[in-house]
Amino acid sequence: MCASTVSVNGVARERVLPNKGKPVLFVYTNSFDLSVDVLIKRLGNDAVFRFNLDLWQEYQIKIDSHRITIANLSGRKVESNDIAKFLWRKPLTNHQLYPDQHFPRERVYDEDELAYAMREVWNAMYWSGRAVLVDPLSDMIAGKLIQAQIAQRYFPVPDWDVISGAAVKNEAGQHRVVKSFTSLRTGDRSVLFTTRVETEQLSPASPWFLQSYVPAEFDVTVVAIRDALFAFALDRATFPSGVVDWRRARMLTPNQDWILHALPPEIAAAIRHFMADMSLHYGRLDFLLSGGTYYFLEVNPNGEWGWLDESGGAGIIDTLVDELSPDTACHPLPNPRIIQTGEIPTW
Amino acid sequence: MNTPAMFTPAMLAEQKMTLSDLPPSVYDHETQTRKFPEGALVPAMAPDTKFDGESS
Repeated sequence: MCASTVSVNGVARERVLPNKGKPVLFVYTNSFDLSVDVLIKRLGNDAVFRFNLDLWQEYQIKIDSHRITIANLSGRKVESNDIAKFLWRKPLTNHQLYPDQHFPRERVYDEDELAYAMREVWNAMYWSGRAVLVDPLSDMIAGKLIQAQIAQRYFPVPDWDVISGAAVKNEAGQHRVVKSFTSLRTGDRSVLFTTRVETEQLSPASPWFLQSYVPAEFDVTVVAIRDALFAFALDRATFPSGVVDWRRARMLTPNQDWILHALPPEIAAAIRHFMADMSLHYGRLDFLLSGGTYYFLEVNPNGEWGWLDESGGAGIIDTLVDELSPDTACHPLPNPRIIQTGEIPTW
Repeated sequence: MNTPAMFTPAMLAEQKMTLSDLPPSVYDHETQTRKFPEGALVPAMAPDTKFDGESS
Protein backbone atom coordinates (compact mmCIF):
# COMPACT_ATOMS: atom_id res chain seq x y z
CA MET A 1 0.00 0.00 0.00
CA CYS A 2 1.00 3.64 -0.15
CA ALA A 3 3.94 4.72 1.97
CA SER A 4 3.41 6.42 5.31
CA THR A 5 5.47 9.34 4.04
CA VAL A 6 4.47 11.16 0.90
CA SER A 7 5.99 14.05 -0.97
CA VAL A 8 3.67 17.04 -1.09
CA ASN A 9 4.99 19.93 -3.17
CA GLY A 10 8.44 18.44 -2.70
CA VAL A 11 8.11 18.27 1.12
CA ALA A 12 7.96 14.89 2.86
CA ARG A 13 4.89 14.57 5.10
CA GLU A 14 3.42 11.85 7.26
CA ARG A 15 0.19 10.43 5.93
CA VAL A 16 -2.47 8.66 7.91
CA LEU A 17 -2.54 5.10 6.60
CA PRO A 18 -5.77 3.26 5.98
CA ASN A 19 -6.71 1.83 9.35
CA LYS A 20 -10.36 0.84 9.07
CA GLY A 21 -11.46 -2.20 7.20
CA LYS A 22 -9.53 -3.87 4.41
CA PRO A 23 -7.46 -1.54 2.23
CA VAL A 24 -8.83 -1.31 -1.28
CA LEU A 25 -8.07 0.03 -4.72
CA PHE A 26 -10.76 2.61 -5.53
CA VAL A 27 -11.57 2.69 -9.25
CA TYR A 28 -13.44 5.68 -10.65
CA THR A 29 -14.98 4.78 -13.98
CA ASN A 30 -18.23 3.92 -15.81
CA SER A 31 -20.24 0.72 -15.71
CA PHE A 32 -19.32 -0.23 -19.30
CA ASP A 33 -15.58 -0.18 -18.62
CA LEU A 34 -14.85 -3.80 -19.43
CA SER A 35 -11.12 -3.42 -18.79
CA VAL A 36 -11.96 -2.78 -15.14
CA ASP A 37 -14.02 -5.99 -15.16
CA VAL A 38 -10.79 -7.78 -16.12
CA LEU A 39 -8.81 -6.05 -13.37
CA ILE A 40 -11.42 -6.91 -10.72
CA LYS A 41 -11.37 -10.56 -11.73
CA ARG A 42 -7.58 -10.59 -11.40
CA LEU A 43 -7.27 -8.52 -8.23
CA GLY A 44 -10.24 -10.13 -6.51
CA ASN A 45 -13.52 -8.36 -5.82
CA ASP A 46 -12.64 -7.66 -2.18
CA ALA A 47 -9.53 -5.73 -3.21
CA VAL A 48 -11.46 -3.20 -5.30
CA PHE A 49 -14.24 -0.69 -4.73
CA ARG A 50 -15.66 0.46 -8.06
CA PHE A 51 -17.58 3.68 -8.47
CA ASN A 52 -19.39 4.09 -11.79
CA LEU A 53 -20.26 7.71 -12.46
CA ASP A 54 -23.11 6.79 -14.83
CA LEU A 55 -24.78 4.80 -12.01
CA TRP A 56 -24.27 7.49 -9.37
CA GLN A 57 -27.90 7.22 -8.25
CA GLU A 58 -27.22 3.63 -7.14
CA TYR A 59 -24.62 4.71 -4.60
CA GLN A 60 -24.96 6.45 -1.24
CA ILE A 61 -22.31 9.15 -0.96
CA LYS A 62 -21.30 11.35 1.97
CA ILE A 63 -18.29 13.64 1.91
CA ASP A 64 -17.38 15.96 4.76
CA SER A 65 -14.22 17.52 6.10
CA HIS A 66 -13.28 14.32 7.95
CA ARG A 67 -14.09 11.47 5.63
CA ILE A 68 -15.59 10.14 2.44
CA THR A 69 -18.11 7.32 2.70
CA ILE A 70 -19.56 5.59 -0.35
CA ALA A 71 -21.82 2.51 -0.36
CA ASN A 72 -23.05 0.58 -3.37
CA LEU A 73 -26.38 -1.17 -3.95
CA SER A 74 -25.10 -4.47 -2.58
CA GLY A 75 -24.48 -2.77 0.77
CA ARG A 76 -20.72 -2.70 0.41
CA LYS A 77 -19.16 0.44 1.90
CA VAL A 78 -15.80 2.15 1.58
CA GLU A 79 -14.40 4.95 3.71
CA SER A 80 -11.55 7.25 2.78
CA ASN A 81 -9.20 5.58 5.22
CA ASP A 82 -9.80 2.26 3.48
CA ILE A 83 -8.53 3.61 0.16
CA ALA A 84 -4.92 2.56 -0.34
CA LYS A 85 -4.77 3.54 -4.02
CA PHE A 86 -7.07 5.47 -6.35
CA LEU A 87 -7.23 4.85 -10.10
CA TRP A 88 -8.93 7.35 -12.41
CA ARG A 89 -10.19 5.31 -15.35
CA LYS A 90 -13.09 6.44 -17.54
CA PRO A 91 -15.68 8.26 -15.42
CA LEU A 92 -18.45 9.22 -17.84
CA THR A 93 -21.82 10.79 -17.19
CA ASN A 94 -24.92 9.52 -18.95
CA HIS A 95 -24.95 12.40 -21.37
CA GLN A 96 -21.37 11.50 -22.33
CA LEU A 97 -22.16 7.79 -22.63
CA TYR A 98 -25.34 8.35 -24.64
CA PRO A 99 -24.65 11.46 -26.75
CA ASP A 100 -27.53 10.65 -29.09
CA GLN A 101 -30.11 10.73 -26.26
CA HIS A 102 -31.78 13.74 -24.73
CA PHE A 103 -31.50 14.23 -20.98
CA PRO A 104 -33.41 16.84 -18.99
CA ARG A 105 -31.25 19.80 -18.01
CA GLU A 106 -31.75 19.03 -14.33
CA ARG A 107 -30.44 15.49 -14.80
CA VAL A 108 -27.35 16.84 -16.58
CA TYR A 109 -26.91 19.38 -13.79
CA ASP A 110 -27.18 16.67 -11.10
CA GLU A 111 -24.58 14.49 -12.77
CA ASP A 112 -22.15 17.32 -13.36
CA GLU A 113 -22.47 18.39 -9.71
CA LEU A 114 -21.69 14.87 -8.56
CA ALA A 115 -18.79 14.62 -11.01
CA TYR A 116 -17.36 17.83 -9.52
CA ALA A 117 -17.50 16.36 -6.02
CA MET A 118 -15.84 13.14 -7.20
CA ARG A 119 -13.10 15.14 -8.89
CA GLU A 120 -12.43 16.66 -5.50
CA VAL A 121 -12.16 13.14 -4.07
CA TRP A 122 -9.50 12.40 -6.69
CA ASN A 123 -7.78 15.69 -5.81
CA ALA A 124 -7.72 14.66 -2.15
CA MET A 125 -6.21 11.32 -3.13
CA TYR A 126 -3.62 13.05 -5.27
CA TRP A 127 -2.59 15.44 -2.51
CA SER A 128 -2.40 12.58 -0.01
CA GLY A 129 -0.23 10.44 -2.31
CA ARG A 130 -2.76 7.75 -3.17
CA ALA A 131 -3.58 8.58 -6.82
CA VAL A 132 -1.69 6.14 -9.05
CA LEU A 133 -0.80 5.67 -12.74
CA VAL A 134 -3.34 7.90 -14.55
CA ASP A 135 -3.18 11.67 -14.19
CA PRO A 136 -6.46 13.02 -15.60
CA LEU A 137 -5.10 16.56 -15.63
CA SER A 138 -2.11 15.75 -17.80
CA ASP A 139 -3.78 16.81 -21.03
CA MET A 140 -4.65 20.18 -19.48
CA ILE A 141 -1.04 20.79 -18.50
CA ALA A 142 0.80 19.38 -21.49
CA GLY A 143 -1.46 18.26 -24.34
CA LYS A 144 -0.74 17.12 -27.87
CA LEU A 145 1.16 20.23 -28.98
CA ILE A 146 3.41 20.44 -25.94
CA GLN A 147 3.96 16.67 -26.15
CA ALA A 148 5.03 17.02 -29.77
CA GLN A 149 7.51 19.72 -28.88
CA ILE A 150 9.03 17.75 -26.01
CA ALA A 151 9.10 14.56 -28.11
CA GLN A 152 11.31 16.30 -30.69
CA ARG A 153 14.21 15.78 -28.28
CA TYR A 154 13.96 12.05 -28.79
CA PHE A 155 12.08 11.24 -31.99
CA PRO A 156 11.28 12.66 -35.40
CA VAL A 157 7.84 14.29 -35.19
CA PRO A 158 5.87 14.95 -38.40
CA ASP A 159 5.44 18.69 -39.03
CA TRP A 160 2.14 20.01 -37.75
CA ASP A 161 0.16 23.21 -37.55
CA VAL A 162 -3.18 24.45 -36.28
CA ILE A 163 -5.13 26.77 -38.54
CA SER A 164 -8.43 28.58 -38.17
CA GLY A 165 -9.93 31.45 -40.12
CA ALA A 166 -7.44 31.24 -42.94
CA ALA A 167 -7.18 29.21 -46.09
CA VAL A 168 -4.72 26.34 -45.80
CA LYS A 169 -1.99 26.57 -48.36
CA ASN A 170 -0.05 23.54 -49.41
CA GLU A 171 3.45 23.40 -50.77
CA ALA A 172 3.77 21.40 -53.95
CA GLY A 173 4.07 17.68 -53.27
CA GLN A 174 3.24 18.03 -49.58
CA HIS A 175 0.69 15.51 -48.30
CA ARG A 176 -1.23 16.24 -45.11
CA VAL A 177 -3.66 14.62 -42.70
CA VAL A 178 -6.24 16.24 -40.42
CA LYS A 179 -6.62 14.99 -36.85
CA SER A 180 -8.87 15.76 -33.92
CA PHE A 181 -7.57 17.07 -30.60
CA THR A 182 -10.64 16.00 -28.65
CA SER A 183 -12.13 13.11 -30.65
CA LEU A 184 -15.49 14.58 -29.70
CA ARG A 185 -18.42 13.60 -31.87
CA THR A 186 -19.30 15.72 -34.85
CA GLY A 187 -22.69 13.96 -35.02
CA ASP A 188 -24.65 11.37 -33.04
CA ARG A 189 -22.38 8.52 -34.06
CA SER A 190 -19.52 10.09 -35.96
CA VAL A 191 -16.03 11.30 -35.16
CA LEU A 192 -13.18 12.72 -37.21
CA PHE A 193 -10.56 10.02 -37.59
CA THR A 194 -7.14 10.94 -38.90
CA THR A 195 -7.88 11.56 -42.57
CA ARG A 196 -5.70 12.36 -45.56
CA VAL A 197 -6.85 15.60 -47.18
CA GLU A 198 -6.33 18.07 -49.95
CA THR A 199 -5.79 21.11 -47.79
CA GLU A 200 -7.16 23.55 -50.37
CA GLN A 201 -10.55 21.94 -49.80
CA LEU A 202 -10.70 22.55 -46.03
CA SER A 203 -13.19 25.16 -44.94
CA PRO A 204 -11.43 28.19 -43.38
CA ALA A 205 -14.47 28.53 -41.11
CA SER A 206 -13.35 25.53 -39.02
CA PRO A 207 -10.22 24.96 -36.92
CA TRP A 208 -7.91 22.28 -38.29
CA PHE A 209 -5.08 20.31 -36.71
CA LEU A 210 -2.90 19.31 -39.64
CA GLN A 211 0.13 17.07 -39.79
CA SER A 212 2.43 15.88 -42.54
CA TYR A 213 1.45 12.50 -43.91
CA VAL A 214 4.02 9.79 -43.17
CA PRO A 215 3.85 6.78 -45.48
CA ALA A 216 4.58 4.03 -42.96
CA GLU A 217 4.65 0.26 -42.96
CA PHE A 218 3.50 -0.16 -39.36
CA ASP A 219 1.59 1.51 -36.56
CA VAL A 220 3.39 0.92 -33.29
CA THR A 221 1.64 1.51 -29.98
CA VAL A 222 3.43 1.28 -26.65
CA VAL A 223 1.76 0.87 -23.27
CA ALA A 224 4.02 2.43 -20.64
CA ILE A 225 3.35 1.45 -17.01
CA ARG A 226 6.08 3.33 -15.18
CA ASP A 227 9.30 1.67 -16.41
CA ALA A 228 7.59 -1.30 -18.05
CA LEU A 229 6.96 -0.96 -21.80
CA PHE A 230 4.69 -3.19 -23.89
CA ALA A 231 4.97 -2.55 -27.62
CA PHE A 232 2.71 -3.83 -30.41
CA ALA A 233 2.86 -3.35 -34.18
CA LEU A 234 0.11 -3.38 -36.77
CA ASP A 235 0.81 -3.94 -40.48
CA ARG A 236 -0.78 -1.04 -42.35
CA ALA A 237 -0.79 -3.03 -45.61
CA THR A 238 -4.05 -4.56 -44.37
CA PHE A 239 -5.84 -1.18 -44.27
CA PRO A 240 -8.60 -0.54 -46.80
CA SER A 241 -7.60 1.78 -49.61
CA GLY A 242 -7.43 5.43 -48.56
CA VAL A 243 -7.63 4.70 -44.81
CA VAL A 244 -4.74 6.03 -42.72
CA ASP A 245 -6.16 5.73 -39.17
CA TRP A 246 -6.01 2.27 -37.62
CA ARG A 247 -9.14 3.00 -35.56
CA ARG A 248 -11.05 3.61 -38.79
CA ALA A 249 -9.47 0.51 -40.35
CA ARG A 250 -10.64 -1.49 -37.33
CA MET A 251 -14.22 -0.47 -38.03
CA LEU A 252 -13.91 -1.77 -41.59
CA THR A 253 -11.71 -4.83 -41.01
CA PRO A 254 -12.41 -6.09 -37.48
CA ASN A 255 -9.67 -8.72 -37.35
CA GLN A 256 -6.69 -6.51 -36.74
CA ASP A 257 -3.57 -8.30 -35.58
CA TRP A 258 -1.48 -6.25 -33.22
CA ILE A 259 1.73 -8.25 -32.86
CA LEU A 260 4.13 -7.99 -29.93
CA HIS A 261 6.96 -5.78 -31.08
CA ALA A 262 10.54 -5.65 -29.82
CA LEU A 263 11.57 -2.03 -29.44
CA PRO A 264 15.19 -1.17 -30.18
CA PRO A 265 16.90 -0.39 -26.85
CA GLU A 266 17.55 3.22 -27.85
CA ILE A 267 13.85 3.76 -28.62
CA ALA A 268 12.81 2.17 -25.31
CA ALA A 269 15.27 4.44 -23.49
CA ALA A 270 13.95 7.46 -25.38
CA ILE A 271 10.38 6.60 -24.39
CA ARG A 272 11.36 6.38 -20.73
CA HIS A 273 13.12 9.76 -20.93
CA PHE A 274 10.10 11.29 -22.64
CA MET A 275 7.67 9.90 -20.05
CA ALA A 276 9.88 11.28 -17.28
CA ASP A 277 9.95 14.69 -18.99
CA MET A 278 6.15 14.56 -19.16
CA SER A 279 5.88 13.53 -15.49
CA LEU A 280 3.75 10.55 -16.51
CA HIS A 281 3.53 7.14 -14.81
CA TYR A 282 1.17 5.75 -17.43
CA GLY A 283 0.50 6.37 -21.10
CA ARG A 284 -0.11 4.75 -24.44
CA LEU A 285 2.24 6.17 -27.04
CA ASP A 286 1.51 6.03 -30.76
CA PHE A 287 4.22 5.90 -33.41
CA LEU A 288 4.45 5.31 -37.14
CA LEU A 289 7.29 3.00 -38.15
CA SER A 290 8.65 3.84 -41.58
CA GLY A 291 11.85 2.30 -42.92
CA GLY A 292 13.16 1.67 -39.42
CA THR A 293 12.36 5.20 -38.19
CA TYR A 294 9.90 5.68 -35.32
CA TYR A 295 7.83 8.84 -35.87
CA PHE A 296 6.19 10.09 -32.66
CA LEU A 297 2.49 10.91 -32.94
CA GLU A 298 1.21 11.32 -29.38
CA VAL A 299 0.91 9.91 -25.89
CA ASN A 300 -2.53 9.39 -24.41
CA PRO A 301 -2.17 9.63 -20.61
CA ASN A 302 -5.33 7.56 -20.13
CA GLY A 303 -5.08 5.41 -23.24
CA GLU A 304 -6.97 2.14 -23.49
CA TRP A 305 -5.04 -1.15 -23.29
CA GLY A 306 -7.82 -3.75 -23.11
CA TRP A 307 -7.76 -5.02 -26.69
CA LEU A 308 -3.97 -5.37 -26.82
CA ASP A 309 -3.64 -8.10 -24.20
CA GLU A 310 -6.97 -9.91 -23.92
CA SER A 311 -5.36 -13.17 -22.86
CA GLY A 312 -2.90 -11.49 -20.50
CA GLY A 313 -0.01 -13.19 -22.29
CA ALA A 314 1.80 -9.95 -23.07
CA GLY A 315 2.13 -9.09 -19.38
CA ILE A 316 0.14 -5.85 -19.31
CA ILE A 317 -2.48 -7.22 -16.93
CA ASP A 318 0.12 -8.77 -14.59
CA THR A 319 1.98 -5.47 -14.44
CA LEU A 320 -1.19 -3.47 -13.81
CA VAL A 321 -2.29 -5.89 -11.08
CA ASP A 322 1.10 -5.53 -9.40
CA GLU A 323 0.90 -1.72 -9.59
CA LEU A 324 -2.72 -1.47 -8.48
CA SER A 325 -3.06 -4.11 -5.76
CA PRO A 326 -3.76 -2.46 -2.40
CA ASP A 327 -1.20 -4.84 -0.92
CA THR A 328 1.79 -3.89 -3.07
CA ALA A 329 4.16 -0.92 -2.98
CA CYS A 330 2.51 2.35 -3.93
CA HIS A 331 4.04 4.71 -6.46
CA PRO A 332 2.03 7.95 -6.17
CA LEU A 333 1.75 10.30 -9.11
CA PRO A 334 4.50 12.92 -9.17
CA ASN A 335 3.75 15.84 -6.88
CA PRO A 336 4.47 18.44 -8.02
CA ARG A 337 4.19 17.58 -11.69
CA ILE A 338 7.28 18.97 -13.36
CA ILE A 339 7.09 19.07 -17.13
CA GLN A 340 10.64 19.27 -18.48
CA THR A 341 10.10 21.74 -21.26
CA GLY A 342 13.61 23.24 -21.17
CA GLU A 343 13.89 25.52 -24.17
CA ILE A 344 10.65 24.08 -25.53
CA PRO A 345 8.17 25.32 -26.58
CA THR A 346 9.89 27.95 -28.65
CA TRP A 347 6.79 30.07 -29.24
CA MET B 1 -14.21 27.56 -63.34
CA ASN B 2 -15.74 25.46 -60.55
CA THR B 3 -14.81 26.26 -56.96
CA PRO B 4 -13.74 23.09 -55.12
CA ALA B 5 -16.09 21.91 -52.30
CA MET B 6 -15.01 23.13 -48.85
CA PHE B 7 -15.04 20.40 -46.22
CA THR B 8 -15.96 20.91 -42.57
CA PRO B 9 -14.91 18.41 -39.86
CA ALA B 10 -18.41 16.90 -39.81
CA MET B 11 -18.23 16.25 -43.56
CA LEU B 12 -15.00 14.28 -43.09
CA ALA B 13 -16.22 12.38 -40.01
CA GLU B 14 -16.99 8.66 -40.01
CA GLN B 15 -19.26 6.44 -37.93
CA LYS B 16 -18.07 4.86 -34.71
CA MET B 17 -19.57 2.32 -32.34
CA THR B 18 -22.04 3.31 -29.66
CA LEU B 19 -23.49 1.55 -26.65
CA SER B 20 -26.38 0.39 -28.80
CA ASP B 21 -23.91 -1.84 -30.68
CA LEU B 22 -23.34 -3.92 -27.54
CA PRO B 23 -25.54 -6.85 -26.58
CA PRO B 24 -27.98 -6.11 -23.72
CA SER B 25 -26.32 -6.40 -20.31
CA VAL B 26 -26.79 -5.67 -16.63
CA TYR B 27 -24.30 -4.24 -14.15
CA ASP B 28 -24.01 -6.34 -10.98
CA HIS B 29 -23.00 -4.42 -7.84
CA GLU B 30 -22.23 -7.68 -6.04
CA THR B 31 -19.42 -8.63 -8.43
CA GLN B 32 -18.81 -5.05 -9.64
CA THR B 33 -18.78 -6.33 -13.21
CA ARG B 34 -21.18 -6.28 -16.16
CA LYS B 35 -23.15 -9.41 -17.04
CA PHE B 36 -23.74 -10.26 -20.68
CA PRO B 37 -25.89 -13.13 -21.97
CA GLU B 38 -23.94 -16.36 -22.30
CA GLY B 39 -22.29 -16.58 -25.71
CA ALA B 40 -22.76 -12.88 -26.45
CA LEU B 41 -20.05 -11.39 -28.61
CA VAL B 42 -18.53 -8.67 -26.47
CA PRO B 43 -15.70 -6.60 -27.95
CA ALA B 44 -12.54 -6.26 -25.91
CA MET B 45 -12.19 -2.75 -24.59
CA ALA B 46 -10.76 -0.72 -27.41
CA PRO B 47 -10.67 2.91 -28.45
CA ASP B 48 -13.60 2.41 -30.80
CA THR B 49 -15.69 0.72 -28.14
CA LYS B 50 -15.15 3.43 -25.57
CA PHE B 51 -18.31 5.19 -26.69
CA ASP B 52 -17.20 8.54 -25.35
CA GLY B 53 -15.57 11.63 -26.68
CA GLU B 54 -12.14 11.16 -25.20
CA SER B 55 -9.23 10.51 -27.49
CA SER B 56 -8.00 6.96 -27.62
